[in-house]
Amino acid sequence: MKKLRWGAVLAVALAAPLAFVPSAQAAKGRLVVVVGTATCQYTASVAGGARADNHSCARVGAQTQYISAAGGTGWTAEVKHPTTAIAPVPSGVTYFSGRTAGAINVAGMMTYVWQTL
Amino acid sequence: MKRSRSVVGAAAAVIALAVGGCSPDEESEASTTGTAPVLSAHSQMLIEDLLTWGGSDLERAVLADRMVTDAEMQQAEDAFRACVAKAGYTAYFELMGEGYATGVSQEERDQIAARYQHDIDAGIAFEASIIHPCEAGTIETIAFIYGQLTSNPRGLTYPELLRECLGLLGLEAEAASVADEQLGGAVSGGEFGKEAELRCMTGILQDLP
Repeated sequence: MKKLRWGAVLAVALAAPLAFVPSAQAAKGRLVVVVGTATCQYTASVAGGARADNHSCARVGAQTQYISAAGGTGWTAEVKHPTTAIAPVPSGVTYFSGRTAGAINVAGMMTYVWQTL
Repeated sequence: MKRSRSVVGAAAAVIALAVGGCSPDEESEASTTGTAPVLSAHSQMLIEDLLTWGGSDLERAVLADRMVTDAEMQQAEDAFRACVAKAGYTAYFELMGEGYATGVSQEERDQIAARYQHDIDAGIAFEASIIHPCEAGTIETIAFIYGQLTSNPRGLTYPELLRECLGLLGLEAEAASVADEQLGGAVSGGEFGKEAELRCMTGILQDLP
């Protein structure tokens, strides 16, 4: 099976710079994923969890990472979907951020590029 | 269908929004009328790319007829779980409309998180190093094709599904003024109102009047 190296993948964020944000705030922006000569775009947001809305990627992904009220860190499963992927924040969380991904289908291989919001 | 696509593991606390569910129970409609599910153009592209460029033996065998049966989906899931088990972990896998969620079990994720308490990125990367190689060649493409065939059996595009959904809410005219590529963002951004955002993005239209 062909396998692309993650190191060969470049992802850049356009629009507003995204940062690790507290739950009281939201960050969003249109992200551009580049794999080789292929590009795609999706919109990422953090509001109640990580969310990726597809514009032109083969698929999108979302994952939420958090700090619980007890102080422990954690994260949700990865969600992958053709159009809209959402990973909501579990209950009892005091702080969270999101990771989203856009996937490009290169030579039959779905390559996800994950980015922390 | 033996698998549940409506229940999301509470431990994982994740959901995916299946726009395919915008129209009233498409899957039931397909099964009761005997209508064969149709591959979307996107699914066709995924399959042709995979068959052209390689794919695992499992993927090639399953997708050769451009369809994925329940048994074949189970076969792919079993292969994924076996791969994760070989690495010493228990796989979490949940189909969600046209998508899916994956990971190790919540208990194992908690253990990994405790180990990487001060470096959450490293913890996430560690779990991914177990899951991603096992997704490739097993569920990665097969689950998407299966999900499309079962949750969007008419093979409609995302804009088509959205327009159909907005039409059921009486917003067809408003939607007509928005280009296909802008429609998803407009709906999820609330430009058609909260009801459209909730119903068209969560696929809960069954209780509409």
